[in-house]
Amino acid sequence: MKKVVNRLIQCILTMFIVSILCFALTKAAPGDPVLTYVEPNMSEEYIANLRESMGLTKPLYEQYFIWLGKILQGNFGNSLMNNRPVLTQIMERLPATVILMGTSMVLGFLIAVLLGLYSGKNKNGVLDKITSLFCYVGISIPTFWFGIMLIYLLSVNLHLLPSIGMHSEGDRSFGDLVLHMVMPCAVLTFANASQYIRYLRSSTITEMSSDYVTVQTAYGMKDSGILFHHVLKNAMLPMITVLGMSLQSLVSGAIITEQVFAWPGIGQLAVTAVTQFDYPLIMGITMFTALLVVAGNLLADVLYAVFDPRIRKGSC
Amino acid sequence: MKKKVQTVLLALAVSAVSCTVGFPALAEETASAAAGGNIVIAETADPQNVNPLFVVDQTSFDMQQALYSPFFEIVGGEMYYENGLCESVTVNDDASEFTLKLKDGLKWHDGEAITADDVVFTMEVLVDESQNVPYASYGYVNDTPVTAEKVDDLTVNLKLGSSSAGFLGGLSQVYCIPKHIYEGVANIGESELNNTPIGSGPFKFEEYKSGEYFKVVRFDDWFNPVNLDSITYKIVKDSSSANAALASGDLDARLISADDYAAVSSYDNVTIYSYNSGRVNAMFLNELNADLQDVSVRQAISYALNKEELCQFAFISEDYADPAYSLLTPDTLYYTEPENQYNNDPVKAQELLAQAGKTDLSLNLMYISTDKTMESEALYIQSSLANVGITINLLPTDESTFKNKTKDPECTDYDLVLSFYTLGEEPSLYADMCYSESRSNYSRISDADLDALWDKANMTADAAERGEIYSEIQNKISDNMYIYPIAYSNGFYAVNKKFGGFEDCLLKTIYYDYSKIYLAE
Amino acid sequence: MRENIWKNIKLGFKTNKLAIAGAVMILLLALISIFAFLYPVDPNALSATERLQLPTTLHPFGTDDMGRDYLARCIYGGRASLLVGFLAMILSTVLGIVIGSISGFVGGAVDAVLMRIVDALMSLPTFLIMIVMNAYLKPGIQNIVLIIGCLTWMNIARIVRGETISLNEREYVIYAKISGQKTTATILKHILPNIMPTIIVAATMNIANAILMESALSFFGLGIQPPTASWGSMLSNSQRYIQQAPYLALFPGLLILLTVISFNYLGEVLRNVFEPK
Repeated sequence: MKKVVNRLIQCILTMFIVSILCFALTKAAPGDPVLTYVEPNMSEEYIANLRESMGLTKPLYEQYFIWLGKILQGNFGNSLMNNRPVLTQIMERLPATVILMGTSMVLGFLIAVLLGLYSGKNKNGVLDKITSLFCYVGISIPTFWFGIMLIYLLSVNLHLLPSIGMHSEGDRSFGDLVLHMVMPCAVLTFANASQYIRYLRSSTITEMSSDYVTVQTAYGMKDSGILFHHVLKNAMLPMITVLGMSLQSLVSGAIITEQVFAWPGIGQLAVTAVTQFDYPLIMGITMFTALLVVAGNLLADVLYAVFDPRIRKGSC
Repeated sequence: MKKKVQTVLLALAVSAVSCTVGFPALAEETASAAAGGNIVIAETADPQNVNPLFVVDQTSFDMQQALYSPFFEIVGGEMYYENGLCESVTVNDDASEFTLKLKDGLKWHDGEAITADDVVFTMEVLVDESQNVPYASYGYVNDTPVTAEKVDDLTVNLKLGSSSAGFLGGLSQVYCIPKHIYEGVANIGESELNNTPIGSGPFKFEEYKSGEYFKVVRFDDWFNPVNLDSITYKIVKDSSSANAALASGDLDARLISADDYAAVSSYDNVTIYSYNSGRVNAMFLNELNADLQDVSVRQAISYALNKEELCQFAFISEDYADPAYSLLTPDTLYYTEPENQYNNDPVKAQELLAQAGKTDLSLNLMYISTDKTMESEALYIQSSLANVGITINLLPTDESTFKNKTKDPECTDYDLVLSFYTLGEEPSLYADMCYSESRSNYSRISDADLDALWDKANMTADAAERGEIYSEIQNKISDNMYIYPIAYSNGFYAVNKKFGGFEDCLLKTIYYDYSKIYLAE
Repeated sequence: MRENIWKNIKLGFKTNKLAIAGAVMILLLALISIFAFLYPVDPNALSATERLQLPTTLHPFGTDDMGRDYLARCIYGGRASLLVGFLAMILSTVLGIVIGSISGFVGGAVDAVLMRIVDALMSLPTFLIMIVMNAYLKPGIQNIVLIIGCLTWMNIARIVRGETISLNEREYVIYAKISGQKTTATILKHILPNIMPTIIVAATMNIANAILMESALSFFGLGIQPPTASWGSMLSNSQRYIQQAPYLALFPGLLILLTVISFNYLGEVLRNVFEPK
């Protein structure tokens, strides 16, 4: 119990530190954020008034504390660009990102478990060679290139799938959503799976040479049984770490993929926020991300103990 | 002076004749004409604010033109009333009083009538300091605010503090906002009312989904026939996938750049409309840099460059851009080609540099990193100037840092900077690019004589006199090589073949009359 | 111990043909980059008339959108990319291993503090960090290596820590701790060799990551400055011509793929060296 409380306090502290660091970063960028909105024929008074209405004339620490005060009351403030509430904007985009990233993570994981375990078991076999090539390509391929190639192939040339966006004009049905999701999901799953497979395969190879595997085989236990009941549990360790770290992508999105497929996710929103130095929006998104990072790593730490009994009885 | 009134009256006569079609007697005519249909137009970002008095980004500007109607347009130097709220605009002898007469029977999207009260209200908001309107300068002449006076329900008198020949050019960019919606609102720019705009244009607001689209539907009570049922502005940031979407039919229209031209012209379901975008691409020479304060150095830089080749290299084909010699566009009133055109002469360039004692210069050239055209310009300039002994360090910068630095009057991070601007047909609006202490004066020119010329030209009502002053301005800038204009580039609108009417829709540069688009099949 | 390692490496190479291929490939790429100046064509020579040409005998890899010879740009580009890829990978891997292993091994308060720092850094928007760092650091290979290295070490740290924790409970580690062996020694002798396979996987991915990140950086004007070529900037530039000239992305992409594969094959040798059989 004490450990849980301890960890929770650490998490809150971390998020607090993240907010300070992020604020400092946003303000560290040299230049006057107001100038991003300046066009010819605008008067100096207008610019000065704009600066003030954005709250940028106050001293930095005051700006931070005003922001902090609002956040503790659940008020994320208004975006500088379009004056709409930050929280509303994040919530609008969140479902799109979660659906896409979540599906890719799950699919990637499932593919990785199958391919990773089997290719690790039969190291240097045919399956292993093919899978490894698949992974190298997946790690090296730039997502934007792969995305655009898919669009040209499947959408423009073959007319099988819609090219961009999340929904068709006036059609918000589930079937339509799935069609739109096929390509961006394929791109992300390919990238994710490649990573997961490499780790899983590596750990599987290590595990396969362990004593218990030899013992189990000697006792006549089926290969798949050994694989899924014993090896998987032990080989999962680095995978858990990676999955834990990937949790944050549920709210930070995949910037490039979202851009290529015009997917209305948070990744796009974040990039726009940064390029316009829209600090309330940047801070809002970062706080969400921080929450998920902290939660993800916490979850990973907890799962280490679940999967590896040796750790359970140790510290942590 | 008389000539001015005559021109205006002539324009009125011409437009009165051509406007009778779209005039009052509405009921039957505005019933949905032609085929209906929905067009999907690509935008590169989410709109920030569609309230016409507070629009600062291109996306919002595009949408504003579907939602709101201007008072009038100035097309080809003439007053154009077809898609405007006004029936006529009369000017008094010394251009200090303008009378706007509204068309009869105009309606806001919620059914309320558009009257002189709305016009007066808009003009008051424009100059109201507490509202902080970005383009308030259009409501001021010589620091005196314009006063608006209601004459009757359809007529408004605008009184200026002093003569302003360029006033109408600015006024054409002020769009009317409804009094019954915004009256009493303390901060109109930040009001939530802007999220559900009530306008006067051919289309009314329907729905906005963040990151996805902004949808507008036909306003049946608009004073002219509107063909389409609706317009969906789809938000697509990436230009490669937008092109693909155009090919696959998921997008119907988008603005493309010169690099896209070759690819898009191969799509057989798309037509490309080339139009004069009114954009001036130019290089500015920062006089905060001591080396560039010497006019011979600036002239040397100009002689070192071959403008035709530079244009061809950066804009791919001669069809896509014309070499520019003046800071005004050929369509701007009183445009003249400066006498000194600095034909490419590297030898002369080197001589000038030697005379000035600056044979080993090293200069920073800043440009927007994601802009392909600018990168091409920069690389070409770098290699040309290397031939005369000037070393150029390229400074590709991300867009917002770029804006920050160029709008900062004390920034010395760049010596040369590439930029572009689109300011329209009214020459006085170009003053900002070289007026002392203006933020948009990227060359940081501080020439009191030049400033005086700009002021004088704006006060002069006589067309011939104005023409002379502007000619002097253009020559002065060219002789002193304050600004190096590069090209007047074309814009390209790629549209799916099933839609027609784009030639009529593109009034000029970035001004659209969306009511003209129709589904052709 | 030393002789053992060399013996194992030699054995690894002998038995694993792929490892040899990998080593040869990397050597080849490195040599080509170093001796780039031997190739007679100027990678920065602009030409308005020869834009976007398909590969021909004159231009074996074709030309890009500014008429520059693509083969020359690929060769010279290798310099920047291989340097960035390897150096950034080394920086992030070393940092990650050091922090991760100490954190996992020592545990307790040290672990908590270090991991919370990692959490905090992972939450910050990468793009924002890039823009700010770019504003203060002059563009150049060192700073790009620094930026990329500092943005990617956290992942390795987490993975190394996870593995270290599980090894903590192994008998020989507990024995080493009890018998008073110094922390550093224990880590180096017992922990690291056993997590080497995972580290290699992570390191390989980091090379690809580093080169692709450089591509993303240059897309926003933050990477290797034009007109200098780098596979990353060539990739990001190829995006707009994907339909007209797909080879613009293909060539640098294949080169990156080759680099990643060869490094990984080399890595397999290392795994065999440290793997307790």
